[in-house]
Amino acid sequence: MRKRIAGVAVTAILVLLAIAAVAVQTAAAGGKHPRPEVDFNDLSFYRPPATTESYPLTRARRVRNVIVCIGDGMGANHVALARLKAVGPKGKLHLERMPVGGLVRTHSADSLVTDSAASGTALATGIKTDNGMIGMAPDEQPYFTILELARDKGMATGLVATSAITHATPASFAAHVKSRKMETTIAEHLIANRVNVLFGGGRKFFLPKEAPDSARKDDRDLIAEAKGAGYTYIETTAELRAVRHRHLLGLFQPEALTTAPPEPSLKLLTRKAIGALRRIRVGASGRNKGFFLMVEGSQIDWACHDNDAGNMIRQTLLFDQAVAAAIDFAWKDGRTLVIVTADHETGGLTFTAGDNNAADPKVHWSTKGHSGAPVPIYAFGPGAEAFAGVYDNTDIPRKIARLLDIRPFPRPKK
Amino acid sequence: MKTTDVNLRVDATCHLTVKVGDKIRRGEPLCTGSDPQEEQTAPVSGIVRDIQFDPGNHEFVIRIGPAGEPGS
Repeated sequence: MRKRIAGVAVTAILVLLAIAAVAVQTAAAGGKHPRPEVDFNDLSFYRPPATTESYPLTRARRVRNVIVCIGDGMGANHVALARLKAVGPKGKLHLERMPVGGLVRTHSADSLVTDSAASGTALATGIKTDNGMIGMAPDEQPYFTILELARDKGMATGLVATSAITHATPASFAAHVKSRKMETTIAEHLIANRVNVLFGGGRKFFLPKEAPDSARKDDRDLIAEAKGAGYTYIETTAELRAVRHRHLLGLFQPEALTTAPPEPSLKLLTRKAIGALRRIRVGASGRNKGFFLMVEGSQIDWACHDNDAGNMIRQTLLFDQAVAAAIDFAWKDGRTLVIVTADHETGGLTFTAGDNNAADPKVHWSTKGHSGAPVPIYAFGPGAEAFAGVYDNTDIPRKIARLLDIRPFPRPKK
Repeated sequence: MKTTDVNLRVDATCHLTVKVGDKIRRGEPLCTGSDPQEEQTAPVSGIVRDIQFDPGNHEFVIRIGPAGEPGS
């Protein structure tokens, strides 16, 4: 008996020591939500394409579904470096197999160098705005987004990001605020806009002020409100794998995603979003009218702000896996247009040959901020040819609107 | 003269014109670009002790410490 008590006491002490160690680690990390240690050189998650052959142009003319994949901060050299690391100079990433390519200008209304709010607004509404503004013109006139107009046509809609879902890029597709910092208001807009699928981080912007993780200054519980409005709410990979519903709110972290297990990967989030959206039928007829989905690899930009090439490559490859999921679906479906682009370039990234090994390039960053460099665009599926050439970021949603027969576009809100 | 460190936040879109270890004077520009209406200048003289990127707010947090007190 005495031995058993001693054993229990030792176990209890060990548990307490373990808890204390975790607490010390948390405090050292300087935050309530320490990020997991990730080995940026471990790219074993990446599944390269089986071939470097380009996908063919699609003969079908009619676009039923649109998937827009945005690599935040992803310039052409980011793609090139990720390719070199993952598959070598002669290989191709999944996104590089798309048959149509082009270059996109990204300046905002008030700066040669855009931020994600102004560029997200350009990509969503077809108009230029000032840096920091979401879904509205510089005079604060809100404009309908391509997602909202697709929804009004009866299409299902979705937003997926590895940032908070209230961050500038996803916000630009379903919110209208004068500052990207208004994330609690953006959370309200996302729910009020009835976006069918919302997957990302940012739970703190949805919780009432009493909740431990809340960033709100009011008593509104947007998760409860979303449930009341018919959303199914999920927080874990297991719940994501099991869920089947037409309105899904998945907030997997209080802040941004960690982009590491046990969290769902961007690829899994994309696959599940597509799986949910393709099944949604609307109206009395119960017809499937297609879907519009935006997927963002949010943290490419963040790695570049740290001038961290290893993490930039990892984030770009995680994004490429999500693109592969979108292409897989589009290839089988035949009526889905997939567009891959960036909102801006971050870091002014270039590279030269390494000292000893050509496969190990020397990376040069010209800034820790954004640059005004044009960004690449890739397209696959019906209507992809429309995305060849050099043009402005505001032209992208205009081209999508034409393909979906959405007119007029751009369109101010009354 | 300030004797404690000062933290300053600037939008991360901008190009930083200072780096850790730089000695700066009050009023000196810290970055260029981003919001042309909002000039980002040093609120105090001192040494740039640290620059961190805050992804949630998409801002750089610049810590300026008193000159002549390394490590403070």
